[in-house]
Amino acid sequence: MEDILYLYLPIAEIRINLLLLIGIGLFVGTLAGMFGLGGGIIAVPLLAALQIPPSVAVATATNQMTAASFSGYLAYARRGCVDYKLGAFLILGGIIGSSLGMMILKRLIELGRADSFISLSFMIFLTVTCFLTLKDIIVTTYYQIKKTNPPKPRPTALMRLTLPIKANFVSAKREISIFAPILIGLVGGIFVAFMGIGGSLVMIPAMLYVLRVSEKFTAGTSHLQIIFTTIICTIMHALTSKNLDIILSVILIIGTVIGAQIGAILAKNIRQDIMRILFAVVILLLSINVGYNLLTEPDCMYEFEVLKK
Amino acid sequence: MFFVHIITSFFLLLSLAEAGYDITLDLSKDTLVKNAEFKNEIIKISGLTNQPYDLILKVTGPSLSYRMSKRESQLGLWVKKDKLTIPAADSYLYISSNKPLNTITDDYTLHMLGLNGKVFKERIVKLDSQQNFDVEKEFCFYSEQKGLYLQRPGKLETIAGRFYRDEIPIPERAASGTYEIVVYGFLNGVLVAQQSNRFAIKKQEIYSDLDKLYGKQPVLYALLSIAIALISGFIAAYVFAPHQKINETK
Repeated sequence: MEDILYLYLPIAEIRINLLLLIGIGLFVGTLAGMFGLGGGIIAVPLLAALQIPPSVAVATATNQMTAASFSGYLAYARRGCVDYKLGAFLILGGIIGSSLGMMILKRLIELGRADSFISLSFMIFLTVTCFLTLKDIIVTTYYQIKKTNPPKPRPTALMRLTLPIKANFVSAKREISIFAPILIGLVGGIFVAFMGIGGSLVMIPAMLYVLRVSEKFTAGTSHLQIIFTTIICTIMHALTSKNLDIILSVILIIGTVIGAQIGAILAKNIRQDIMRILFAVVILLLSINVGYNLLTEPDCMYEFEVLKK
Repeated sequence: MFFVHIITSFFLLLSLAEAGYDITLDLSKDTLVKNAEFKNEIIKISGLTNQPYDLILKVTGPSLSYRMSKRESQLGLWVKKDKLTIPAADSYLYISSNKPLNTITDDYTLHMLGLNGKVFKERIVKLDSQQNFDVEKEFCFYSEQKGLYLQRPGKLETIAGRFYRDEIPIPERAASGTYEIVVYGFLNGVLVAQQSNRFAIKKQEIYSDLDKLYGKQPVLYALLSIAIALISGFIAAYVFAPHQKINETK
């Protein structure tokens, strides 16, 4: 009976519990659906904890993100919560950024500074995002207690810049230069190339705090952008590392797509300020996890990983 | 029972002499199939010798390349540095003997036969010989922790000086491929006989087919994975559509 619940992963070359994988998929999918995240940053450490080689976990999680984002995107698109124009410029910036990121990464690897640079920048980025989100929560809660409306947010540095070619975005309810989302997409793309994450961790806070986009549109637009990024990454992984495990991917996807729909329903029924608090908690937990891994002395100084032929 | 064993051994010895071998080597299985039921397996080996040799058994798994990284503290952060590629190393190693290895033969012979932790098939070009040795030592330690490298001196059982047997433990994480088994026979510290055999760990048909598809047509494999992801996402969105509408009308 116990063996029925196990399946063999041909690329990872291990047997694994089916229910555990579906559970991970559901958990990651729910978070992805709620916050518009791809989920890779959560899925990869969980899979690695199950003894799945990290390179297989990264490549497979990328494909899982495609499913989560597509499922989430359809749910938000049905409610008209996707800003396609904004999404298109984010994707354009993302493509330029990921190409640029690959070049910078190559140079950093040559200099032997890639890992320290990536780790440090990732930690700073998460801390800043966490600070911004927490500040936002405190301000919102303060004005709720005072029962007054919070002051209108001041325009951000990027908004104050007089960039050319302005366009009206449905999600921002005002004119923004098309270069603003392209720039944000570019920074997100660099992170995608550096860390192999979908980029939503950059895009969502940037949409909220830099472009001042309505929260209603962030998750759906982020999902739209992630679909393209992860499809490109999946093909790249398949061609280079050859670590994409299709069986693992299918099982994770079953849980993920259901989770993404549950997440989208939850997001609709939870108040926006509560959603922000939950998002801040997720970012805070991620920051603690990344910080802990970077600051504590590892048990083993050497790591070995099989390279596929 | 003992009488039967003696008679069997006698006839086996006769066949051994007739065949002209000094050592025979038989396996309980020559193929293991990797699937959902593949846990920690055992392959039993047995054989006969025409003289009461000191025996060393060595089993090596398919040679694979690895990426190694070392963690170092930089600005108080533990980051990966010195990423290196190990071009070829044994993915599995099992060594057993009927006596402690150093009482069977000298260090030089052990080194020549790869019985003293020499698992790298090619040296890492970037490193000098001392650094190669250090990395090899770390690799052996890592593989021991994973249960892929095992040394069991004294575990190989000999009966009446001529019959020997042992059990090779194959852990769940063992790589698929061909495994080489060699039995060395020593007399007074000198290698006088050896016999080899092999077994395979294969992936079950569907898993093997997927593996082959990935190897030959990685783009098709990737597109298949993406198609599954998109179709699954679409089906889930379709199935959950009524729930979304109910929520919208509330």
